Amino acid sequence: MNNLTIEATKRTPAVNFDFQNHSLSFSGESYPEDSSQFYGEIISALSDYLDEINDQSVQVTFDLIYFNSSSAKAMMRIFDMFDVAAEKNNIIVSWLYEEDDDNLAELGEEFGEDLKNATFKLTVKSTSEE
Amino acid sequence: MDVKTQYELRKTLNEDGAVFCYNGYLTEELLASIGSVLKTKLAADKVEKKKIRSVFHFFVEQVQNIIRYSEEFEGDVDDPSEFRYGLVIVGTRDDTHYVTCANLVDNSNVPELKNTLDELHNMGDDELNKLYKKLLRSETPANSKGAGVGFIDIARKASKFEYDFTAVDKSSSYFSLTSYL
Repeated sequence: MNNLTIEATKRTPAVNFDFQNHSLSFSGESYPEDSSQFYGEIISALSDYLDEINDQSVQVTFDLIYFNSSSAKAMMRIFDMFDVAAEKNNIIVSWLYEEDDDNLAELGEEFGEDLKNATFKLTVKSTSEE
Repeated sequence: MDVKTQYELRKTLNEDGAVFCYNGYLTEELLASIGSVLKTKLAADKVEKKKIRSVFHFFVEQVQNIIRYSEEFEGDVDDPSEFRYGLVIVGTRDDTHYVTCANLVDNSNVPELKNTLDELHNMGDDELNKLYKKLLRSETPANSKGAGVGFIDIARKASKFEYDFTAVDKSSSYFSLTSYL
């Protein structure tokens, strides 16, 4: 299936779904005007991909700087999708945060603590990229 | 407005620690632009990055409330544009950063809005966090472009938040909410 690449904008994150290499990432800021619209396409592509794979190792990376509450809702859905898929696959979700940003770490933990099957890794970013 | 009145207005805002004040029509583009000015200004003031992000978070949630829910907008009631009128103030009072947003709301919506905010105001952190997650997993109301979790997120992240209403006329009230970092 085709990879999904969305360039970052000021209000939306870069999305890079490399389905061939089973490497999926989100990076940047997320406070879209219409979050159901923005995440709709992403969720639909993701759902098609997750339906296809079996016994596969998948690396997911969330490298976010900021996201608003309506993006959080989409992310919760995405985390839940990964967790269901992880019943049949090895899904590793990495949540990156800067050392001084314990807020972002806590937000990641809130999503991560609900994962029953997928592996969740909270990871400090080595250098500031801003 | 004569120069004296203008200056009085400016002085009142300055005395309230305002670093930024906007009263007028807001759009998502304006939100991003003002947000970036705000981040630059706070960084210049040597505010910690973590705090800047929190102020920015309250700012985004509250401005998006205006853009989505203010009763004053251009366009038809059936097809309202996201070009809505409101007031935004960001400032620092007694060493605490605050974000105030205000807009008109329909009088018929006031009791429910007040009730929601009263409930959130009385909840402890655990309860707020549980409710936040519950709402993240619930269906988004059909008429909402957001997720309806903005107020809960403000309630759980702010050190405190204040809100009030004042009647404007038969149909609308002025609603103001301030969150403190």
